[in-house]
Amino acid sequence: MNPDRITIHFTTGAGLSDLQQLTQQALDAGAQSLIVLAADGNGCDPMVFDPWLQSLPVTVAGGVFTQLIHDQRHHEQGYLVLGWPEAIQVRHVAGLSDSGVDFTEQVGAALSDAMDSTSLMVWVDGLSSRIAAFLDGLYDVMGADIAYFGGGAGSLSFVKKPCLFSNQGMLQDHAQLVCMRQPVSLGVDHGWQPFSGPFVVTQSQGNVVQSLDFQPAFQVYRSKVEADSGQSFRDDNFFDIAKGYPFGMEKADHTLVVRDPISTDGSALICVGEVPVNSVVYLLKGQADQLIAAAAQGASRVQADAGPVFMVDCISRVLFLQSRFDEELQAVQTAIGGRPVVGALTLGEVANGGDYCLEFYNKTMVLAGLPQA
Amino acid sequence: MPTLSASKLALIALQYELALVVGQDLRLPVMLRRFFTPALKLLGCRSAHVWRGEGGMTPTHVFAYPLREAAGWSDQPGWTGALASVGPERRFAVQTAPDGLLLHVFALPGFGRALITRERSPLEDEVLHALEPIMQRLAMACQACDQYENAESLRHKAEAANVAKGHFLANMSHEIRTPIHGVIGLTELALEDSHEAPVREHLTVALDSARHLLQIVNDILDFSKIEAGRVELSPEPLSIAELVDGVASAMRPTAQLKGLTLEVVLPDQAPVVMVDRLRLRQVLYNLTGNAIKFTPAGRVTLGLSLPQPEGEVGHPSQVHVRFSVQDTGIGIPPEKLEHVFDAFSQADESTSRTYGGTGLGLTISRQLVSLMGGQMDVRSVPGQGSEFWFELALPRVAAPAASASDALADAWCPLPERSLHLLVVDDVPTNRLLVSKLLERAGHRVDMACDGAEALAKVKEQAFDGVLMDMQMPVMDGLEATRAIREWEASTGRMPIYIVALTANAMAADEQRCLDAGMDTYLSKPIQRPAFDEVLSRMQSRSATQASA
Repeated sequence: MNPDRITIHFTTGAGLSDLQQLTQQALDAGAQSLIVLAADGNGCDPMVFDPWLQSLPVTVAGGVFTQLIHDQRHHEQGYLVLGWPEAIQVRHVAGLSDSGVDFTEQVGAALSDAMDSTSLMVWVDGLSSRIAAFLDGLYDVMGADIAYFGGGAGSLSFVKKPCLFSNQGMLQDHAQLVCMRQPVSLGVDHGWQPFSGPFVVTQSQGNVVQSLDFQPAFQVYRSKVEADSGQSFRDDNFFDIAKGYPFGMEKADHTLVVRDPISTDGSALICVGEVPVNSVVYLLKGQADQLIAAAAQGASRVQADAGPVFMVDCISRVLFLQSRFDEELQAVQTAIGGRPVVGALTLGEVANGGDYCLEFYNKTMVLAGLPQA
Repeated sequence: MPTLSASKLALIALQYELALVVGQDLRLPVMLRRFFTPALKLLGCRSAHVWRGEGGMTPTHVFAYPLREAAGWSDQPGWTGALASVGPERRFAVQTAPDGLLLHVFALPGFGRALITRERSPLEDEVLHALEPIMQRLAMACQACDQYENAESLRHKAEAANVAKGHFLANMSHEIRTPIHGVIGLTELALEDSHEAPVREHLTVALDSARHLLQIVNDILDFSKIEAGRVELSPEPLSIAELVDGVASAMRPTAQLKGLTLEVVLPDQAPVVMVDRLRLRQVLYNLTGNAIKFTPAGRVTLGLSLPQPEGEVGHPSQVHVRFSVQDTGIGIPPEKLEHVFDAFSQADESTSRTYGGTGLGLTISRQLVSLMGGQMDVRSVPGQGSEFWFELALPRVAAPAASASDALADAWCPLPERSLHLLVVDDVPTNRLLVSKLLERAGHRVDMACDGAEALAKVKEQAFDGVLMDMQMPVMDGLEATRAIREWEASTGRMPIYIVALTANAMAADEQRCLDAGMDTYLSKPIQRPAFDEVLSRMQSRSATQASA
């Protein structure tokens, strides 16, 4: 085995012993650090995992995601371990939902000795309420000349619980920054199209949209979505319908940043990521072919190299595409070529593409082409 | 109505969103960050910079997002030239830097310039035009931040000056009064000892001058304290009729010296109220003193009445009290009447030459009345006289029962005087000399100490009948020394020694601190003979009582 390569190890086993075997394989292959991705279906219990994480002889990062991606399939159970050929620096920022936290200050302190990083792998607790504010602070500190990619860990049950792996144990409401000195090539796209709007977000608090055009947000949303979908919202089926109807915040170049409403709170809508007050949003909907084509388009932007491709894809694309999601994975693989594509299905995605400000995306596919060492 | 095209709608939406994120804070870096963070995302741009300075001024870089780009901007190729491309005639421009980065420069009228960078393609013309009014608003917001910072800086300076003023007042009050008290006290002693007419005349003039100087100093310090908001009232139960009567009794000799009659008009029943005794007395002394000063012949009348406020049912727990001082003096011309309460102003400049005075007495009195919740006013007829009055709404209280200590004092029978062994504690030699001379003349033996630590040591070594203790001293001040003496007495079972505070400031708060520390009473400097004699009398009684116990 080449000790300078990133090694990929995967199992569909769900127990800690399966993970332990996997990590041992990586260490035997010469890994100096580990990126560990676990599927939420494994039921990772901090009481069980913390002692093991704290006993690891190398740096560990990663977390629990809704599903994993490996070998052109998505998996509801299993572990994916990437053996890193060098000792990576991992930093954490706490309080991702605290309103009083100055993230520029926190990130500056956390990364004070890692300012020469070329790329950052960014994992966040996907159910925290100030993820976009954290990313603004991260961008403020690290600037525009590095590549950022990553996404939101957590469970599709939307129950908040520890979801990030660290040498201190499992973490909740944190952000994790994996500092890399290798350049990364990014491809980002989503394929959702506007069909109604614009609407002004007249009242919002973090990731909770309270009113649109001075009317209760859910009332406006449901009237448009029910009319288009022919379905009716009940107490128990919000996301079943809403997964096909996200919001989009339009930029000056007519691209859209998608915001996923995942539940309601009375007449308000709870989204993955902040929706600033006074922002103008559109209602989007998707066609399966357009989504798949967009994924392939995004993959075509990843520069050719020999290293593996890390895929961060939104779980709600799976829920929307259902059986056709395999086509998205195949389209991406085709566009990428022979490089292995591995990754996770997340609650929100992080990327900047190198020429924009850092964004927290929803319902978007992010590909990071890792260089061969 | 015709529908807007999608692109036009998007442009309006963009302008709307950007306009609403301008000016969200009055701190410049925070305001700019709260604007550019969402603005860059909306515009699909990568960084923003702001400079202060227009025209020929060398611009000063004041902001960058991301912050990481703040250093080194001047090394960026093409940036300096781009900044110079906008001005009054051209509000925005787009240039391509040698490294391919697109530089969008905007004038911020009245403030400086902003630069937004983008890759790949420049912002569309319509977007640039839509941004122009936004940037004008941003410029105004920047100016508002600068003005806020200036205002805050001035406020901090004013607060610092006020604090310094307070320290000055506290220090100068003690430093100035202490030597004056020494001069007054020793001159009084010298007057008692001298019997030659010329010497007595000279000493009398010197004493009058020193007292006058003290009054001027007190007025100025009082005025400064009130201006600085450092006067706190200390209300206590008070029979206002007794107070007014007491002021009249004290001022009557001065009036009689001029051949004036000093009358008092009191209601049949006057309540006991909560009021600052010292300050109310100060006001009445000032008004009565002025009335006597400006009345060549006739009478001065101190009045106390209880008017009911018009159209208002009196609050059962409050009483409205009217104080007035009326004279048959020279009066005040109508054109001068509105300025009579102004600081350093007297009705006539010749008045100050003829009658003397700092011109602060009425100002201080009016301010004190205002602090007490009232308002002072005047009416006057030149050649016939003036009336000054003020009304206060004061809480009514039950007449205080005689306290236990008062009862004990009443129970002390006046016993034959004997020589007391007393300790005088003061760090100022003049003051030690003055007080010890007064005590020796009264027939007592005196030891001295120059600070609280020495006093504590002496009290432990010798038996004293009483201690007269200055407050402000180095090493150990009067309060600390008193507390230490009381602790020693409690731990050794000794009888409490009579401790008298010698206070220069005469503030009610200072006097309460003395009592809280364990002192028995206080004497205000300059020491007035009646109060001094009373204190010695109480010492005699305590000493005799303890001796017979």
